[in-house]
Amino acid sequence: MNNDDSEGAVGNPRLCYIGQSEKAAAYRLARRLFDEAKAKGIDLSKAHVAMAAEVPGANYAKIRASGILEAMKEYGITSYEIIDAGGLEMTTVEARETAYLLAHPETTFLIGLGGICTDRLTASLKAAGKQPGEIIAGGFDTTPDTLAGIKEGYVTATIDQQQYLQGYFAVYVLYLYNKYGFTPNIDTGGYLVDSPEKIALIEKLSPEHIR
Amino acid sequence: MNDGRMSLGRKLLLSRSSSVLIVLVVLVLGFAILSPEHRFVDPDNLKVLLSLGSEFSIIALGVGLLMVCGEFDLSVGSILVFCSFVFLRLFEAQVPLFFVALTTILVGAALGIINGLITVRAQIPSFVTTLGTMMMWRGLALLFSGGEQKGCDVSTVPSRYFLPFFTGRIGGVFPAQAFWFIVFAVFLGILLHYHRFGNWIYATGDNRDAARAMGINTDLVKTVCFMIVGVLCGFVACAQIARTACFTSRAGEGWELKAVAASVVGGTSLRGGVGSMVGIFIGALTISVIENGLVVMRIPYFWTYVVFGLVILFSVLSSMYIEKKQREAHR
Repeated sequence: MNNDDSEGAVGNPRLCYIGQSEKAAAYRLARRLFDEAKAKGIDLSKAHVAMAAEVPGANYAKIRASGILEAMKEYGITSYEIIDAGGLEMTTVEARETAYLLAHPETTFLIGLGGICTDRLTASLKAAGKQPGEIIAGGFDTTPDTLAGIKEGYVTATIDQQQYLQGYFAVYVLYLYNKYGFTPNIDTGGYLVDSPEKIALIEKLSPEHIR
Repeated sequence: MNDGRMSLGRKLLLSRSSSVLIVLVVLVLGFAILSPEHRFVDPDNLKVLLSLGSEFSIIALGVGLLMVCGEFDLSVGSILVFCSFVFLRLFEAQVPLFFVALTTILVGAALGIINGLITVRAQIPSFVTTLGTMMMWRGLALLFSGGEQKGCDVSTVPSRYFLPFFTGRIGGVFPAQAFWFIVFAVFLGILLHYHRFGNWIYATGDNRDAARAMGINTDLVKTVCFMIVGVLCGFVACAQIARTACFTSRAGEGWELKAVAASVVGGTSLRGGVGSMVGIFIGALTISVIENGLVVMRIPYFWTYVVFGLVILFSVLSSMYIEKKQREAHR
């Protein structure tokens, strides 16, 4: 559960996988961001996508980036860069994202490939002197600052991988496997959070560790 | 040639701080001239460099002071995160903000004292002591917080002075964090260079047995230096959590070696007894400038580590060269 082999069942002799399909989730997120840009009349052929990763070589970052690249192809976007955000330390991540934005004024999209990078998007955009919506930003996970960023308009959307379901189905599938031999692959994630209603639901259930 | 006959220019050139300053000036000029549209010196970038870079740099000042005293502290990142957790818990308990900050700083001081007492009482190398406490404080912060990231928005509590004190802009421009970095550097500089306690630090770091023979309580000196590092970690924990409005169990991760690197770049000897606050200040600034400058220069970030390595090696080699020249000048 939680993180599959980059080659799925081919690369790992697992029974089944219960968790987010990282590539599909990233693809869904990217399409949401690119549609937002299209609605604003931005010329996507000249757009630049910056993807910040805490650990650029890690499996999660590579697979999520591949989903975004697939969506970019469909929308005719060719310019992109994967940024090494320098690990999980928030000040370091924020400093690097901000410096990148200042050094790359051509940036149209800023996407956090992991939770910390996404959490720091709003602070980085503010520090770089950007207005809400000036750079179209999004990412993964639903940390308090990410949700606050969506409310303020700095972040367009984030992906909730719905970990509760990963834990719930993992136990349930083991039970079914033991009883009937079932080994289903279950995609629990890819829930796009991009509206006040969805945020309200997450904020309500978060203290109970459900969302 | 004796020291009295050396020209002022030569004296300056043969000071350890000067080689660090040369490195910093070259880096700043290089980044300013070569960065696209000179964005390195863009006011927005300088504000980011000064505000975010100062959080780490404040801690580096303490680590440098401790190294002059002949000791290491690898637990700074873990003290920082533990202090952040204390801040979070007190904030959640609705304790008045300035009392939260004061308690957080006192906890930092206590953790520093623990490092000091274990090191001097048990005669354990501080490298080992703080390696242990590094894991312990980080582990406890993870254990108590469940590894979760938690919101801690201090702006929700009405306080006219708290946020400006830690994260405000002086005159609407100059980041408060950079102001505190300078204030701490000046205070520690006076302590190290113009106060009797500073002489004790140098004596303890240079030759502990000789310092003891002179009547210096070296255990106390070392413990106080550890405590100063803890106080700075507690202060930065307050500033960081006030700015980010959240607690994360990864705060300060990786800062321990960067702080040592800043001190070494600043001309502080790993063997103790040698170093200056000016050098440590410039060393910390240099590390922040490299991190920021390479991104602004659009150089792939992996180069940062290569540049860090080169700057550290250059600093150590130039310090060795300066030491050799100083010895020759004194003959």
